Amino acid sequence: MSFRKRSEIVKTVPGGATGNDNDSSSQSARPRQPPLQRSSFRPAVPGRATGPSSSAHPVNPLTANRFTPQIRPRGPVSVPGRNPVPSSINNPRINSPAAQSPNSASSQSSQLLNSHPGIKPSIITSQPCTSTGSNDLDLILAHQGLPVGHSLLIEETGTTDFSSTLAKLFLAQGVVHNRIDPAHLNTHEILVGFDQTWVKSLPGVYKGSSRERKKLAVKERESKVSVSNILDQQNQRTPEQEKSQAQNPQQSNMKIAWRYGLQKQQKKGADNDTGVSSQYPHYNNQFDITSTLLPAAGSYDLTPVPLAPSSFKQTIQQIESIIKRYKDRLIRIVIPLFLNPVIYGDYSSSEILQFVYKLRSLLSNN
Amino acid sequence: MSSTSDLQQQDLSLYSDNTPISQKTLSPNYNSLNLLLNSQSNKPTWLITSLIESCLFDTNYINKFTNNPENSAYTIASPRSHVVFASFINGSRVYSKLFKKYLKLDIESHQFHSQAHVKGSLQTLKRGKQTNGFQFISFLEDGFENWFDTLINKLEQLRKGTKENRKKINLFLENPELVLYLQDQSPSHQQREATNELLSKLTQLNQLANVFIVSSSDKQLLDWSSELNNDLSLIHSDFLLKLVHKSDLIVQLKALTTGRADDVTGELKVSRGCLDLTSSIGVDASEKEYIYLANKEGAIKLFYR
Repeated sequence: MSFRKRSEIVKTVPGGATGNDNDSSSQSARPRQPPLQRSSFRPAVPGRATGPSSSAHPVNPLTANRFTPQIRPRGPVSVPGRNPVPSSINNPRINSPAAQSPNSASSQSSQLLNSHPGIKPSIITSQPCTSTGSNDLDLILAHQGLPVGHSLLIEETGTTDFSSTLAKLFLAQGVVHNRIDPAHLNTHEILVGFDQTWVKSLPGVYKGSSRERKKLAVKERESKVSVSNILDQQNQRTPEQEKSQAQNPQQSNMKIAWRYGLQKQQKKGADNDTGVSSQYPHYNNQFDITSTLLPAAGSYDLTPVPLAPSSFKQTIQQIESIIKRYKDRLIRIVIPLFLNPVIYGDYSSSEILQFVYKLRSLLSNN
Repeated sequence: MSSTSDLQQQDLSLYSDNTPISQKTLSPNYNSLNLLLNSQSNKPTWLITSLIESCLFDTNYINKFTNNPENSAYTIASPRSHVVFASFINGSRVYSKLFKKYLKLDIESHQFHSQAHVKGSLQTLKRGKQTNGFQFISFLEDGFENWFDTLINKLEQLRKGTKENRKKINLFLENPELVLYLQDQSPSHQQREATNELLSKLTQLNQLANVFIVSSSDKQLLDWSSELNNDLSLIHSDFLLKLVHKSDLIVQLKALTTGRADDVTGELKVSRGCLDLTSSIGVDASEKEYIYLANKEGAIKLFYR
């Protein structure tokens, strides 16, 4: 009885894989067997494309028929004597349980939650959440945003007014969400207690530092094809530069490649920081509170609801009617400087509580 | 100092027979009134869920990671006792996940969610299956204007159904004091009358069922020194003081007095009410103090203090 190494046995099998096909030394030492013999040992995997090696050689029709069954195209198949399958059956959203329920309002809301680019599930409870406009506040809230159908009270003591900044960030985020696809408006905002002029100072999306912005503006200007630009470019070129470019024509390309490399690195870093940001690219934006959102929020983005002089009842009714009007959109309600004596008059505590209670009721029912 | 990981976990027992809901409290002779007090930072959602589970299935999910009340001898169609849960402050969304996980009840389905918003009429109440041992009513979603009629009708219906089986009804009322807050402003003597009226309505409900009242006990709400006639703290203090004198058992959830800790969420204190429970049903409240830890998944661990 003789003992041989397994590798030796494997090597002797005609057409058997050596375990290291890429090893050039083993290939040169031993003539490679044609892949046709290998295909006779192993059946072709159904559904997989045949490799170039197998297509280069004639395939045995008997083995091909035996091991590679014909795959029917997926989708609705017409069966004689039966009605055709409706095309909606392949659409998972239409086929979802919410869509099957008779309550169209709930199906509409679930569709909105699924399709809205500014909504993502909470990392703790999987509840749908929307961004507050401030990434840091989102992180503090643990859900990485404000769960839809919930409210957030920002209490501020002292003489500062940072709460208004947060309220403006919340509004600006809603406006940016609404403008992602101008053909399908997805968000509507309700501003209680202030008019449209307050919205004119919403912060704009951060576009880099002032130096970066200047550079971008110069680049944009230079990239435009105009007679002055071409003349400037020609004049700026020194004879030495022209000479070096003639000697090494790839130098400019290399510079661009180097810049692209930097951008990729920056993107990688950002993805690592935010985790699932690539999955929800429109979830939140970074805003620059020193800039202004342009164009300013209009009636298609936001509806201001003024305060009634003595009672909150009218205000609640107006909010309710706006919610009903924009049922297919995500509604974001902002009440800046709530109960500030300058804006809010002489309301009794029961009236204020009734207002808050009705708001909570609206949130839980919609 | 030892952390909670060194301590032995304890089962929740509110009564002297070491049970969260004593069988003697489910006797038809006496209806108890129990007070569950909580602070803003220590919500009693888990405690309510645990007590409802004990009422329905005689099991308890505390200190367990997974719970299957289906292993109990009781079912939702034939429970240990009936439960009606009415919340003035929360919608079904707040409890649905916890109830689904630990009680296997989907309160957002029509089977359990009693729609009371159409004037609290009997027809709408009949939508909930009468065979079910559990009914959920949210006055936040349905409107609280006819809350008392709705509850009386519900309890009367259940009493008719349970006459043969002699099953007790447990009514959980979450923050009924909101009724007082949301009333239009009135002079202080009228406000006191409104409090008395609410208490008399609660007493009427207590004549039909065991009542568990969930209410807030934050320091800011308990203030007798307020100079304003209609201050909320005055109304709340008045309501709570009168309620304490009618209660058999008081369970209080509060934050740690020493501050915040990673392994302790809060304290749970069980104490007797002003009424003597032993003379009525032969079981007493077991006065104890626990500390508890609630994790993100909703699991609760309980330890002796």
